[in-house]
Amino acid sequence: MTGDEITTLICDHLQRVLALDTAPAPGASLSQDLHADSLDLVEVIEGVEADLGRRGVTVHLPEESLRRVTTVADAVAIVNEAVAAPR
Amino acid sequence: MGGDHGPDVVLAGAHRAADSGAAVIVVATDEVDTGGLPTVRCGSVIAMGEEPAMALRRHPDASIRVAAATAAEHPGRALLSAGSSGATVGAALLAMGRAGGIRRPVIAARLPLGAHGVVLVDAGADPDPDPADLLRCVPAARAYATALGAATPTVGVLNVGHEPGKGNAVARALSDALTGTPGFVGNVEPAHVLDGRADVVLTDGFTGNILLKTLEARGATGTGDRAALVLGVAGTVLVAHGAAGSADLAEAISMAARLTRAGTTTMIAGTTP
Repeated sequence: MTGDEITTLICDHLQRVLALDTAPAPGASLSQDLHADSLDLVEVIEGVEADLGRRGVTVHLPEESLRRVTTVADAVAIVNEAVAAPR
Repeated sequence: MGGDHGPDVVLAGAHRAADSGAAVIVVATDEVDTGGLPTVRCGSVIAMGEEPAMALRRHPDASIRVAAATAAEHPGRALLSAGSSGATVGAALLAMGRAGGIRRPVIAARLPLGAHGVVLVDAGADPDPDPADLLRCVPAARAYATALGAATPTVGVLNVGHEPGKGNAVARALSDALTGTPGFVGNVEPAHVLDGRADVVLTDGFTGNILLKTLEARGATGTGDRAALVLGVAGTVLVAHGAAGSADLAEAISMAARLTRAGTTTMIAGTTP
């Protein structure tokens, strides 16, 4: 998957979970700007993992990675890293 | 596996409900003897002190995750837990998804007031709700009130005065949106709530939780009031009070069955007339 596809995938899940009218900006803070909490983040990430799995890409993002996520761009970055990592 | 009294009390409640005809499935770790009840085994338990979201992530085989997945497998099933409310709501969201575009699920609790009981929404899930989310829950809350025995449930907005225009932003928004709708009785003051003037009382989770805990502190709640319905999740989900006893849990299981039969959850999305 390309980075753009991963960004779109994450933004789609953020829109669904957070009931956003438009796709969030990469620099948007999950907590400050989008009012997301830790459960929202877990719901987004598990949705992304499930979608990736359906495309034959198996990833499981570790808890310590999730704890580093503060912006949309951070979420995109950890998923990109996980997809690119050798398995 | 949850609850202040451990699995023995939960199992006793499950057996009581099963003896009354409920089709109960319990989820338990291997070391728990479930006494012949249909059982799905899990690998771990989320402790009450754990932060729910990361605990759900950390324990994919936790009892509440397995229970939510088991309930999600069939539309006619309901999920009941006496464990962490946050973990229960989180596991239900992950396994079942959301209903009606509700941003944050709310809790509908039965208060032992009036002829049939009063349904309080929100009893404590979201202190700063989007009023639109609460309004989406009205059909489901009315269905809950009907399941409790109210023939044509009335709806009121908890407020500091009955006159229009009173209250905080959430109360005013709710009252404005509901004015003129069938069954709306307007703003209700606490005394009106105690009188059972409205079968469904809407308020934010902060105010609702104070009302609920005030009644609990006065000893005004009893069996039948130890479990509450989660609205905004695409399934029937009840959270039981951690201190619930076996009779409370048996009653909660019975209520879960009634609410599932009533199709309460689908009413949130407005898919049921």
